[in-house]
Amino acid sequence: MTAVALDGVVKRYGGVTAVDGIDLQVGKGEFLTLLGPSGCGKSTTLQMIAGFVLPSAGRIRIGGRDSTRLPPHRRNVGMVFQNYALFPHMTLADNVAFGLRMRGVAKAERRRRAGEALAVVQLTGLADRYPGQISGGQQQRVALARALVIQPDVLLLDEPFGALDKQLRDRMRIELRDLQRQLGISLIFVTHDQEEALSMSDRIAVLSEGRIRQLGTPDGIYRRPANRFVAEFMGHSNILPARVVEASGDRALVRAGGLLLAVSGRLSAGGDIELMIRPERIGIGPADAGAAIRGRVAGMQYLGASLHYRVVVEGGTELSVVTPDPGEGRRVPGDPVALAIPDGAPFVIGS
Amino acid sequence: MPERGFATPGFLALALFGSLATAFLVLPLAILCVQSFTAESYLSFPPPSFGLRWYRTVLADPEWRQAAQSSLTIAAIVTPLSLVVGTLAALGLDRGPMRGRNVIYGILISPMILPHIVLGLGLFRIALDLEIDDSLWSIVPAHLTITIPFVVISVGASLQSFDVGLEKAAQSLGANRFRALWHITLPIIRPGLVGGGIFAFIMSFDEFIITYFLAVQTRTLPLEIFDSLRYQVSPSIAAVSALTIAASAALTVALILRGQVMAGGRIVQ
Ligand SMILES: Nc1ncnc2c1ncn2[C@@H]1O[C@H](COP(=O)(O)OP(=O)(O)OP(=O)(O)O)[C@@H](O)[C@H]1O
Ligand SMILES: [Mg+2]
Repeated sequence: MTAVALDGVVKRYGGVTAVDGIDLQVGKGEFLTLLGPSGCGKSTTLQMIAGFVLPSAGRIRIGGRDSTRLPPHRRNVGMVFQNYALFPHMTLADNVAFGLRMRGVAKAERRRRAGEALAVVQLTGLADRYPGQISGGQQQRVALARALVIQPDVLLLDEPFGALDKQLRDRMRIELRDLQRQLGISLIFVTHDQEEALSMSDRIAVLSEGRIRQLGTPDGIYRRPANRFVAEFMGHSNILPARVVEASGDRALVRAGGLLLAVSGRLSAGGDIELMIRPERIGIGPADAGAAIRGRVAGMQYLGASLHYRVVVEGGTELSVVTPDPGEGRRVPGDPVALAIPDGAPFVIGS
Repeated sequence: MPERGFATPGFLALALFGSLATAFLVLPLAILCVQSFTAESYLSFPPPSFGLRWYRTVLADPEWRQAAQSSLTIAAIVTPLSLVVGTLAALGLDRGPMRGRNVIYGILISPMILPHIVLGLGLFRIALDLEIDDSLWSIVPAHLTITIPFVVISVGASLQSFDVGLEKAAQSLGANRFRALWHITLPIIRPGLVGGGIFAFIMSFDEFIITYFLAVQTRTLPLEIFDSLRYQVSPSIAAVSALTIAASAALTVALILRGQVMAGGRIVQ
């Protein structure tokens, strides 16, 4: 079952194409993230689903109903805004009950269901406060409760954690994911933070310039990017141009600078490809004469839990390497080192 | 910058000047109010004896009562009309396209800067042609031209700090545009509405020049005061003036208290 379906959705603003033909299905109970850099059309897409922006072309179905031209109040869509948009002149209970009031639910029933929703987000006891009297994290939860209480066909969140500090953000991530699973909500989440996307989503749609560049599970997108844009956007990566030296079946030997690496994929000898190796997949150790790949540390960044080395290998290629911090025996710039690139670590982009 | 006390020569000079200016503005009113309590049949300061004689006279006088009643009636019609039209205009300016916004705004508030005598003359011409002079049908619209700008400015200022995202949130929760406006926008911009309404009321209640052009039989309070001044200066005018000042002051105090209630109470963001 699909909760939301976008079919060839386009939005143009004068000469600017904000959204350039998006096809997307969000399943019932699915957590889908729209991920992409600033200006790629994430918010515009969300606004079209919510009904605040009319698509220039394409169709939108929500809960099995063609909603392309339906005004926002006739769609059953919950929305959490980045600044929460809580009504300052109403108590938290009245904020949460607002959607029910608009649906003509009787007062006692409203009060009861608003209380339940506040309990779900662990705010029981604050029902009679005003939004100005609670913290940012609490406001966030009220906004969530307010959108959930109407039992929307889909819940839309546009960078909802942007205004929270790192710790609170991490906690809200877990809470939102748990809540979404527990209540079986269909949810579209917008962010430009790849870590946020990877940690919460069932599926991620990576957008750039108004198009979906790849749609898949977090694991699939991180480990098997469909193109260079996705490879680079999803965290650190070493991207190396390479040439196929030898190919047989779905195995091949490629040369990237001074490196000779085995990869999988149906390739033809002599072809040019792009290779991606995630920095955390590369092993680093003391230089020894027998090592296949030798190099020299060009720089080291301390990241707390891990160390980020830049290593120049024979042939001049520079590789990023991330390893857990061993505490002692860190390498310093100038140290000779040996690198190990295990089988399966190099990935041919787009294969 | 080092912290400085309030006792600098510059500050003292400023305080003196401020006090003198305030006294200059307030003293005539104060003297008038004191005079209104005279028990004599002439105006003098200080009055030789005090009493409520002239208040009794004024409140019992059918002409003064009639004048007060028409002024109140006109203001009571003008105020809600100004609020509706002015609020809609402010909303339209706030939400409408950017193009032409400043021009339309300028036109809307132009009656504030036009000399009222010019405005009165123009309205008088039109009212004559339409044969609606000397009636509410001309006086109310005439007052609207000068009260609406106050509402547009006051409500417009409130809308400036209003987050349109709140209306969107309401719409996503099932409110159509009107209900979003009614349940969310209007309550939040209420200080602007109340302020604009009180201004509109006072402007209409006080209005003299334009009404003077249009009214013949119709007597409003300012017209009545003016007329009675021309023939005689009786303490009844002081009493009427004192009553008007008291009413205006009461409204202003209400306005200030309202502002404090809003700022100190629930709307804290
Ligand atoms: N009302 C508008 N008029 C004209 N152009 C617009 C409008 N809204 C958005 N755009 C343009 O459309 C493109 C996509 O905007 P959108 O807000 O969807 O980006 P986004 O992915 O949400 O970015 P961010 O991460 O910065 O929020 C941008 O180039 C933006 O300038
Ligand atoms: Mg955005």
